[in-house]
Amino acid sequence: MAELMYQSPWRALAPRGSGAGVTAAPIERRGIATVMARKGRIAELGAAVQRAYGIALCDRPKRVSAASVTFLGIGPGRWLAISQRPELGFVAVLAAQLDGLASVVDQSDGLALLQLSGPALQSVLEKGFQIDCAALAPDGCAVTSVHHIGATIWATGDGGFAVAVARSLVGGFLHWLETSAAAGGLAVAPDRG
Amino acid sequence: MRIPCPYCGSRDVSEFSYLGDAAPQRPDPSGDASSVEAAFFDYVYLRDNPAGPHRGLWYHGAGCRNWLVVRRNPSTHEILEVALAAKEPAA
Ligand SMILES: [Zn+2]
Repeated sequence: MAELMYQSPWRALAPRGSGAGVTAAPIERRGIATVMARKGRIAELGAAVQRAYGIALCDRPKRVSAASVTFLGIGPGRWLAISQRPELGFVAVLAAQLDGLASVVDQSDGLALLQLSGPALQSVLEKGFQIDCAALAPDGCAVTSVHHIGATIWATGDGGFAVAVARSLVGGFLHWLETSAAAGGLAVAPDRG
Repeated sequence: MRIPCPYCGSRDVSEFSYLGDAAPQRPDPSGDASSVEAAFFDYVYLRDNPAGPHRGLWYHGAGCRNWLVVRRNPSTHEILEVALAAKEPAA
């Protein structure tokens, strides 16, 4: 069977205006999955994640990170798991580890991840998000919408934010980002790997 | 209007969809046909219209994708209580 060529969802991302009020860096080739606890198995799921990754799952809209994975709380008993490095096979391994405790659904091809930072970031986020992103804790996470596009946003703990949007809506998201960030300058940094 | 989602926190009403009154319970379809029909007529069509607090089902589609039971006063827009329609024990 023919191998599909990897194409970045962010290949249309380009600098706008002058300066670097906001810097955008694609986060590419990550393994991404939704993890949905089976009925009544949340405690066992937490123990399995603790065993496999050494982190305490938290059933709230929070980010918990380990060396190899980040779990984001996206709903009661539901998380978005993202590998920390470009990864093939991450989702299959995760699904095997959590077999019987959670439904693990591969989202690697469906979601596009972008890291955002910079001095103008908060004022740019305010132009699209209906929540106060500045009020998110350093480990805060929110499922909401930006510019009428469904988005998950989380604080990365370094003052910046990462955003996940459906790959098919990246065009609309970029239209919002480029238009909103142009005034203070939108810079593009290389893939964070 | 903003709704304080128990999971997500305070969110704009545009993130939610309203289904309707949370009170009606689906009747037992077994038993005498005419009384079952009457019970289903009531369940499907008849609604109370109180001029005060009311429990409604809301779906947080743009957030945690959970059904919520929101007790609110439509006369004042005051939101009195919000709970997840289904509860799972916490981790
Ligand atoms: Zn919610």
